Amino acid sequence: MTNPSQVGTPIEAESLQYKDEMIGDFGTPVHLEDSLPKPLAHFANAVDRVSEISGKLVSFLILILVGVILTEIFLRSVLNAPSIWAYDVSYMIYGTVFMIGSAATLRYGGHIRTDIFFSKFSEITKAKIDIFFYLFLFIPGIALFFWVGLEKTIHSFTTNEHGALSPWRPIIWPFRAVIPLTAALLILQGISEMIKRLGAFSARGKK
Amino acid sequence: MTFNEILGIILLICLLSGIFIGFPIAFTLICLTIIFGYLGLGDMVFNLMVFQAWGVMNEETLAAVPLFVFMGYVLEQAGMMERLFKGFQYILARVNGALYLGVLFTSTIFATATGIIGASVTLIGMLAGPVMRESKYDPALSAGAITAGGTLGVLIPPSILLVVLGPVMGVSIAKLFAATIIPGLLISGLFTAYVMIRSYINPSLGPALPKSQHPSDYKAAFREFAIGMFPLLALIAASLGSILGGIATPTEGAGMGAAGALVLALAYGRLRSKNLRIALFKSVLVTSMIMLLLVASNMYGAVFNRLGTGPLIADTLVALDLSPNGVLFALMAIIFLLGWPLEWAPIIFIFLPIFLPVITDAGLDLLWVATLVAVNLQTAFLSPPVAMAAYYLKAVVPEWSLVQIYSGMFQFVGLQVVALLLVIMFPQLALWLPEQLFGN
Repeated sequence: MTNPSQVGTPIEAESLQYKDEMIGDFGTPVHLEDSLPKPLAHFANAVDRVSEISGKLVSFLILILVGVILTEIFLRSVLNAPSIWAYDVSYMIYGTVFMIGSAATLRYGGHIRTDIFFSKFSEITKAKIDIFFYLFLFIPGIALFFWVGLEKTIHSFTTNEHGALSPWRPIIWPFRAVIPLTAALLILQGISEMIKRLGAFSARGKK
Repeated sequence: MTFNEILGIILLICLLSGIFIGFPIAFTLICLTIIFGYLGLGDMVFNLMVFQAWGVMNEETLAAVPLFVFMGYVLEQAGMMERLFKGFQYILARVNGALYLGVLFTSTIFATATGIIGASVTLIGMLAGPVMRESKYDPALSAGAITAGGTLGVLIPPSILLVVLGPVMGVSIAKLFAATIIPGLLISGLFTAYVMIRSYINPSLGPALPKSQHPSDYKAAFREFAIGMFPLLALIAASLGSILGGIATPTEGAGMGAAGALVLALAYGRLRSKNLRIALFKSVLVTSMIMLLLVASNMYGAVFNRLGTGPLIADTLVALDLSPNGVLFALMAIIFLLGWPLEWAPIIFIFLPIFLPVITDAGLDLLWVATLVAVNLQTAFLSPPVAMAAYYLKAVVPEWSLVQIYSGMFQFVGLQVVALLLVIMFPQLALWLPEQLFGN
């Protein structure tokens, strides 16, 4: 299925390097076991890739945020003419970055958990705890979050809602859409995490 | 007690069980809040949670968080720490305990330039650990200096911990930055005095460096040192200075800091596209982790209060009618104890809001209490068994045993408690600078 020449495409080779260097001491990602059935493994892999790419895409917004702030400082202190848009653009970028980035953070095991007991459990116990968590708490909860977020977005779109925090009054629905988009990415990544945890059982079966 | 109040108590118990079993904290908060909120409040809970997430997304001051994190990673990759540490090591070579001083001075300056939390222990450990071993420095004291120095970034502004603590306590971030500077420097000073006294009494703990490592030309050594030092000081003036001077908002200060860090990295020839992408990506992960926790705690807080349990606990605590000192000592003891098993974020987001009404009711100065909370939480990074700093260090200097690392950390925890007591006894240590800068 995965022949080596395909794996060697620039993007993929690069993200393999990221795996080692990017995270450093941040987070404890769950590794994909070889013993998992192929379709499951491919699905988890694909989802992980989607999350990584979404995280990388929003990471460039941080650079844009720096640019926006510098521009605003220049306009205000040098030209004495502050913009009406910098305030809104700032929080919109920041809000988008941390929300969309949460799926990538989940993929790298970056959402903190108290590991005073967890780190001492066996792989099987960890897997049971995580699968229970994702199945009964995470996925239903985030699904509701998706649903209500989507409703708000549609409402915002149909009523042509404008921002109220500044005189610029930008159209708001694209920013509202960040909530359901985040929830959708999180649900996918949650399923992938569950599949990866299943690896603990299939690995035991092999031994 | 009403049905809803009892429901809130069960929510709190489930939450604590979930946290200790090891569910990711942010999502445990979100999902349990939905279940219990729905049972107690019905459909409105769904709107409430989206509303809370939306509130955090619209908070312009918090845009400082990704920027401060990014600034820290860029400076780290620009090799700023290496440059500083080598500089100190060189010009202090003749002094007893030279490497301890190098570690502590480097950490203090780096803490003033960045807001990141965990990473600097790894970095300073990688830089200083091997040299300290070669020079036969005491492992426990070395590990203590590295971990304690590395966690100074938690307290010394700009720090992400302060950026999120400010809004939770209802104090301005700029004032909180001003309030924590003197306590931060006080702690750094205590650390420095401690290692100097120890290596003066017993030079074998931290000898001066051998002749071969003394600079042959002191002028050249100082010039090299200045090249590493002054641009960083200029950067600190531009970001932290402009916030404290009231010229810039925290977000603007952070933006200038990030831009300045990029310029420095470019000037030192260390701005490679790959490094930049790594710094950006890591900043997203760290920001996401913290902010999602804030979103989750706000959802939980809103439901917890609407169920009536939050006010119930607050009323009960207020009815105990503790003296202000009693409230303060209870708060400090609870945070110190919670800091053992828990990380700083859940303490700030979940537990602090419960105690806030009592603190206000006791008439304590919120800015002062916030400073004490920050000093106290920094200690949490150093208190075993769940002290991330120990694991970071063990990973980069495997030759030191965890027992040695822990014993070193305990010595510095002791110093931190001294500092905490000093700030409790002399509130002016925290309050004087904000008064000077911002008036009342």
